[in-house]
Amino acid sequence: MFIKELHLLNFRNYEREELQFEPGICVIRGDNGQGKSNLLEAIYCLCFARSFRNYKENDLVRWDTPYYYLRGTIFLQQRFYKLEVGYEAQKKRKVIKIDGKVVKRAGLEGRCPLVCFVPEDLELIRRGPEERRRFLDREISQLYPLYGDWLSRYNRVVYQKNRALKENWHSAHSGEFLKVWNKQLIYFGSRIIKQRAHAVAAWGKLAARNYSLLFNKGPRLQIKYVTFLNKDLLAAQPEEIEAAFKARLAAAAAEELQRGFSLVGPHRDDLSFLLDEREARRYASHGQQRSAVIALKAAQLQHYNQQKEKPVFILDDVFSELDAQRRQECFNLFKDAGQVFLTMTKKEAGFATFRQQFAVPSVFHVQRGRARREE
Amino acid sequence: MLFSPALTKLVESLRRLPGIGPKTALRLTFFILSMRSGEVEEMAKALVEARQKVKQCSRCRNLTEEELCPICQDSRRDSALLCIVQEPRDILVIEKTGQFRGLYFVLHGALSPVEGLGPDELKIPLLLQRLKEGVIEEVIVATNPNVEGDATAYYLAGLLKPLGIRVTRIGFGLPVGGDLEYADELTMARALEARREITS
Ligand SMILES: Nc1ncnc2c1ncn2[C@@H]1O[C@H](COP(=O)(O)OP(=O)(O)OP(=O)(O)O)[C@@H](O)[C@H]1O
Ligand SMILES: [Mg+2]
Ligand SMILES: [Zn+2]
Repeated sequence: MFIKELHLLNFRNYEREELQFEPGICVIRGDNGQGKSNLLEAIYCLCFARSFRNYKENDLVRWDTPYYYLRGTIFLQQRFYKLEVGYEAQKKRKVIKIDGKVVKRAGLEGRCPLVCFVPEDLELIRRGPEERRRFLDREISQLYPLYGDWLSRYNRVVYQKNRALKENWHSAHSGEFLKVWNKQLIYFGSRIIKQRAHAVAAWGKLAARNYSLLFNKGPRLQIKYVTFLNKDLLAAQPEEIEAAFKARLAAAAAEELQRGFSLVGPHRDDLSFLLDEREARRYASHGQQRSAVIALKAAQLQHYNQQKEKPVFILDDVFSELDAQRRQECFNLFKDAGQVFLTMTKKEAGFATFRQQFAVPSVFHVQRGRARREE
Repeated sequence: MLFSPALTKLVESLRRLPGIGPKTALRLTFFILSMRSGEVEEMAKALVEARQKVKQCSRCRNLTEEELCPICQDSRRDSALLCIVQEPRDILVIEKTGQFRGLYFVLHGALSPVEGLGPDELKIPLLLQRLKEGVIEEVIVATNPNVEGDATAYYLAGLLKPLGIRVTRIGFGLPVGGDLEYADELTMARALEARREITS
């Protein structure tokens, strides 16, 4: 896949801009606060109709303007698609079009091979479980078309069930009342669990290999999906996962009532990184932790490649955070992508060597919401 | 404030209506001020009168001015078939299709602990009482296709099946037909998962 064209209208600090891209590496350069990240955000938003940063939709609209509009052309599965995303701030109304036809879903979610890498990802191992879940959800909803829908319904069910437990709704209405939430918790939760298990298994295998290539004779990396079911989730049929989930809910029912919130489900899952069988969170060096994340990012790219489509790879500010060794590890990833967008500040020393190493085909210079191609 | 107190008050009242933002409220206000005063009085009277006269049908909770709504009064309708909807406007949607000849029950919401809506608020005891009369053989649950609508459907199925009543489910808001390669994929996939038959 690659992005061919992008038109921005009132998006972040871009008033109006029209850009053409080619496959290969594209460097976005500029001083701080000029609109580099905003441009990457627009590319992501064109594909998935939302931001990769955790911002509210209204924040994406240029200040004092009523709407943003993005239009672009991408090459995907042997053909070009015209994508449009428009959002009206006051009405909070979003319109998404593919090839001129209005679609209901979140853009190309689930069919657009795109990997993004932001500085927060580097700290994935050190951060809390909710951040790792957010990482899983963001990446997996890009992989499977239904995942995002399941997830939002699942979260809504947890929200309703927690309120029911907290306010003792069950006492007035017998167990029937909790049952209707649990039923949906099981339905959506099992699907989420299965999808997470599959994704982490696929990434984990590739990441282990990547890590051992980086450090021969180094420790062995394992990435594991941690959930509450002790089952071989990859082999299990959906009904088996549902049955196991149901049994665990039944066993926890009394405690849930007593504690007043939902105790069982994938909303409490985690992702675990092990180096030679030991928790990387507790024992690994900061550098080892970051290399493990880079190995995971590489795995995501390779995973898309296995599905016969070279992904787009978006890196925001990652380089300035890395030492020379890990920078090189990152550069190695580029061969697995069809198109790479990365940001660099003007001051960045690495640019000259980078340019030598890659013969970078296109460089854009960003200043106050305008992007100019550098010759 | 730039405007007179009376004008501001009108803008503020209009803003309370769903889907009306400050700009629209202002536009409507200016429009109302440009109308003939007789017309405005008529409109105001219509508001007050509707609010005073319209109440819930004692059988189905549809909106009506009488004890029973026209649908409940219509003896030609199939009294063995009952459709449960969330809002009175859903009745209009179904009636427009001309396909349904049974009766209705309006919940005025769906189960939602977060909004404080439980079985009692939805008057499910009233529904049960009606079902126990034994005339109704089949219930179609037409609550919205979201988490709350589905929870309500499951709840009703659990309650009604032991009474020997057949319970089926339909959903609104599902685009039909349509050849959009992407648009209907999600809907299709969900439909194919066939979770619309209800078991409690
Ligand atoms: N909705 C908006 N409307 C107008 N300007 C905005 C909006 N949101 C952010 N900005 C501006 O965009 C600028 C930030 O742009 P961006 O995050 O892309 O910077 P950057 O080039 O990535 O900088 P850095 O090198 O520091 O990461 C800020 O100066 C901010 O004022
Ligand atoms: Mg930035
Ligand atoms: Zn009636």
